[in-house]
Amino acid sequence: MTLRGIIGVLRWLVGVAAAAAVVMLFTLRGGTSQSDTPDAHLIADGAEVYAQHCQICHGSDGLGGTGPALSGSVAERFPDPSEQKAVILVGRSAMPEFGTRLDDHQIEAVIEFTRYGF
Amino acid sequence: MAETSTTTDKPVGTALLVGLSTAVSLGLYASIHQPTGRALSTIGFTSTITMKNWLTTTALLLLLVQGVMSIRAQGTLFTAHPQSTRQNDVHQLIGTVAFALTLPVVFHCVWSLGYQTPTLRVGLHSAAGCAVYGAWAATALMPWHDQERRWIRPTVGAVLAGAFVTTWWSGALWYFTSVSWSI
Repeated sequence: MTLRGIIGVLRWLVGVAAAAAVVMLFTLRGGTSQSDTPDAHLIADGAEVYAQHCQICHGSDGLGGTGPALSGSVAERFPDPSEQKAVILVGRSAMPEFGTRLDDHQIEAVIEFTRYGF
Repeated sequence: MAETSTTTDKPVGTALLVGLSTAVSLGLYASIHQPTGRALSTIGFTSTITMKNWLTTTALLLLLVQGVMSIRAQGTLFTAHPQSTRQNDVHQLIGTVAFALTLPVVFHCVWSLGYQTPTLRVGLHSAAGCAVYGAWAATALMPWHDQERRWIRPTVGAVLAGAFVTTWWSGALWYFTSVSWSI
């Protein structure tokens, strides 16, 4: 197959993928546990994790201490929860990494709590 | 002469109109759509964010190669090299692969996160991301050989490059330098 033939096939495939993406944008739903419907159980678990590991720096009410305030600002600073998760996992500045201290559920829970629990 | 002008006006005008419509439509959809906050797949990366960062960075490198090729072809920085058919093919191949790499990224951004402006960085990222696809649509439809207006294609390409670098800087580079280079 010539280079032009390869490009033709590739462009066709990419075109189909792009069209499929557009269709999915209008048809695919996020599921029942969307970020705009906070999970009460997860928030409760997150409150425990927060009390044990986070409030010493970020304050019991999330208004800050030696660490920055989190209450009301987490979703703005981290529109993508996976950005927030990455900071928790690997740490940043004076904040230690929690990837070795917390399991996945605890991290998901504390993310939910800091976004919706204060 | 007037006939020539009409035949060249139409594709350029159409390309620019489609580009503008694409950028505005993407921005409108992302603003109106309720963000799902979910991810479909990380295609082997450790997280969605690392997937997006590395796919975008790879696409940026490909676009840099493509940009150098275009500059050589237009002769604006180097000596004039009319692009051969083979060069055009390679140019299109690189652009197509780069575009394909960004599809999972833009899908997640628009479907999962939406258009957001809480900080200057995030606002710039949202706006530049929409501009990228508008410019991309315009360049894909832009005629290769418009002798009367040789500046149009490079100009749209420069808009695409500028918007892409802004998107990468406000997303991937910010993450790499602020959080982690992890894969």
